Amino acid sequence: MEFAFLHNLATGFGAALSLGNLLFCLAGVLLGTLIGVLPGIGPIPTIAMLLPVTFGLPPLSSLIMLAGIYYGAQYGGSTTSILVNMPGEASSIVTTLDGHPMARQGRAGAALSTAALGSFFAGCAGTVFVAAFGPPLAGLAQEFNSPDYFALMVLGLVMAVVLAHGPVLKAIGMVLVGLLLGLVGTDVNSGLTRYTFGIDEIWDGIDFLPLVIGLFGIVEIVSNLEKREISHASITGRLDRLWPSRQDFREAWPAALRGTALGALLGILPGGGAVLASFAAYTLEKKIAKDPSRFGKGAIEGVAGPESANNAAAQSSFIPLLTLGLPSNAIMALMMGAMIIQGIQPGSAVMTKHPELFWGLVASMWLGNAMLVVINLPLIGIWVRLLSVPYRLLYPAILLFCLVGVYSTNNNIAQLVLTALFTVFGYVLLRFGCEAAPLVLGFILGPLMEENLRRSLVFSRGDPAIFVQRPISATLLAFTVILIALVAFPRFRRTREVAFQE
Amino acid sequence: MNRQSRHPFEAVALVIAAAAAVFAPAAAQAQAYPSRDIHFICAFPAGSGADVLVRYFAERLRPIIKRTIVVENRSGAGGNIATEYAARAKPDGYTIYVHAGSAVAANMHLFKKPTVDAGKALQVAATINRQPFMLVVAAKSPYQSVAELTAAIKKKGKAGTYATSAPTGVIMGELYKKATGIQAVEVNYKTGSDSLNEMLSGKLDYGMMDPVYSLAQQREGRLRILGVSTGARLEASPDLPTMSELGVKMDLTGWWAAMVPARTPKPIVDQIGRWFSFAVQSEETRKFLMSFGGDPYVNSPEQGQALLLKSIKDWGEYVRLANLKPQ
Repeated sequence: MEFAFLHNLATGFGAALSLGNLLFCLAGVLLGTLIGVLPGIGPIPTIAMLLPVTFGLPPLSSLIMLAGIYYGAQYGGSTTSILVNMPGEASSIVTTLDGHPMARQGRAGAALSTAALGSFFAGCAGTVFVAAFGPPLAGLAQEFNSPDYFALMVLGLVMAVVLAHGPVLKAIGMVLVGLLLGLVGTDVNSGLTRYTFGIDEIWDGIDFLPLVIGLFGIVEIVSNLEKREISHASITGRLDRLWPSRQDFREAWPAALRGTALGALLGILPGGGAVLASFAAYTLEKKIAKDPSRFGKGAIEGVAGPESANNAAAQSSFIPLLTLGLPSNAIMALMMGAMIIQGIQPGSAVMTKHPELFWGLVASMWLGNAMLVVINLPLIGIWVRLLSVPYRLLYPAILLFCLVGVYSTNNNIAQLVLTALFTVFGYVLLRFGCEAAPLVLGFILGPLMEENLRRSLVFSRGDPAIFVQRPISATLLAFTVILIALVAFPRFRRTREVAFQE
Repeated sequence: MNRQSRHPFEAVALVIAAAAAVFAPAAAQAQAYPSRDIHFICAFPAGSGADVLVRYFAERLRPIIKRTIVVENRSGAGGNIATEYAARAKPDGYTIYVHAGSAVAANMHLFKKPTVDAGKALQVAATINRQPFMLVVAAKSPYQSVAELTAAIKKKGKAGTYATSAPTGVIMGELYKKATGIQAVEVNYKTGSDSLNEMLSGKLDYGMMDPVYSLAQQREGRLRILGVSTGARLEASPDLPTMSELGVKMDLTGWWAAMVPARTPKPIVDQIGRWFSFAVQSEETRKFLMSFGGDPYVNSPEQGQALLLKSIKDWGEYVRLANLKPQ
């Protein structure tokens, strides 16, 4: 076992250390840092836009780069949160609460290095976590039959609802719309087409790319343009001292440990991810602090905890995707799309059929985290200066990139029409305060869920008892029922709402 | 990709042979062709198995044709979008549809209103390969032959269950049931690997799967191939008996081809046919095609066209037999 672990990591580093893959890793983390720093563009639209570019790359290189964007954004986002009180990323919103006050007190350097080192520590721990928990989970996945997959998808969707921001009802609605959109196209069991209205282009279903680029990429631009030009905040704090003081360090490291553990766990949960992890870690730190009143006024734990948590979660959220084929959040759904585009079916087969891919990705995460520390600490001044690029120069380029990307996948103008439709739809959702992420999960999981449901019922010749007879599906469904019960309880619901307000 | 790592002399000899075979008979009209980029149409998305095959030929033919070859992926509607696009392209030899002729034929019957009459709208320039579908069981199942499997499933009556993927798998499953009178229930999968866990856990008794998946899983020791759907044994797997040999009459052969719009001038069709046939006959291509579980398959444009017409007729019969409802 010990040996296998080392052997696997050696395979991974062997694959990730090739010059090409190192460059793609660097490109990914640089881009991640860049979009992390720039407010108004996050990892979801960036990965969505880059999907078409990855067609021409080998599978490992494209995954390394896309993963780098995700965890790289967690670093970049903290920089602007601390220095200009402007979170570049949703997952670093909480970092502004204490990071910026620290900067105002002249401790910007300490806050930045705590964020970077905490992230690095969490990144390393996250890598080990993925390496250790991937194989046993993948082993379990080989026992999964249709009823188990169905139960897993149900649990995933319920989780997505519970953990989504905002009212439960809207999240349920979004999941249902996603499920319905996922039904469009040819039904595998009967071979009949559904909801295609005689349009050839959606005979095989709605393509993933127009959906995500419309809903995330272009809607993001539209909503940014609606706001007034993002003002150029002045940079607060001097950067003379980069290292935390001894006392800072003593206060920060336990928080980083707690944040890492919490983040790694929350990342695995379906519906979890970096954003949830950072919020939860901040709440935890405030709860257990001896003097909670320090929070919001520059408590270093308030930076160390969430910053570690979001990185650990960014990494551990790969575990369910690579072992069970279950994307736990919208970014993982995009990664799943990237793998399918490359002809790789995410799931336990990734580890057995493409060990270099799985372990190469794990190893690249560690390498990428090391690169990020170098990129972020000494070069911090450059990133901050990027904030002065006006958005009116940025968005036409991004928009063009989106459209070229969608069109080039199969040279079909219908894809652009679909993109436009989804943009309009996404804008309407935005206006009504509905999050698109549960929709994407429903869209991705819906067809799988239906296929497995119907297959299970063919096996049982129509008897629904099959779902409770198998131990795996029975357990998963029991969890689902408990979750629903919890949400139905008013007390828990209130806690949930409070948690998201913070 | 060490495509260049062959014997240098052999390579030189091949190039000379290529030059002789390809350029010597070129008629005056064909001399001007090709004067610009050639587009290969692929009916499946980039990165798919089909795309790998199309790009392989683009790569092989580039040095022979001495023109840039652009692979255009026009996926959707089970290949119909690409078929329609290729059939309506200018018949000048610059748009070549590289796809399974058998799938083009099948779609004529799987759809209520096929957008083009493939037999009239397309002209086969060359065939590329022929490949089987395979009857597989779990390696640890007791069935060592089709006869044993048939006997066991007969006894199971309606409790037997089998997996299919792709229309060919569905047809093969129906033909097997019709021939033996067994009553197993079909479960449809999008791809072979989706069915693996249930095959291994014993929920499925057997499956009708594509050759790439079946061969890979047999190599890994997970599945056992009991029979192939082609009329005769293939060179790619000479040890695998055909279903017909085993008393289940069928000849389901998938075949790939290079196709052009029907009104393409004959000399250009012949020229494209020579290019592809030359590439198909090389040792490297043989190995490449066999890794997909099929044999290289060389035919003149006339023979290829006859094959297309025959396939369209056959598939009409299959779809009727299997009771599939066209869209």
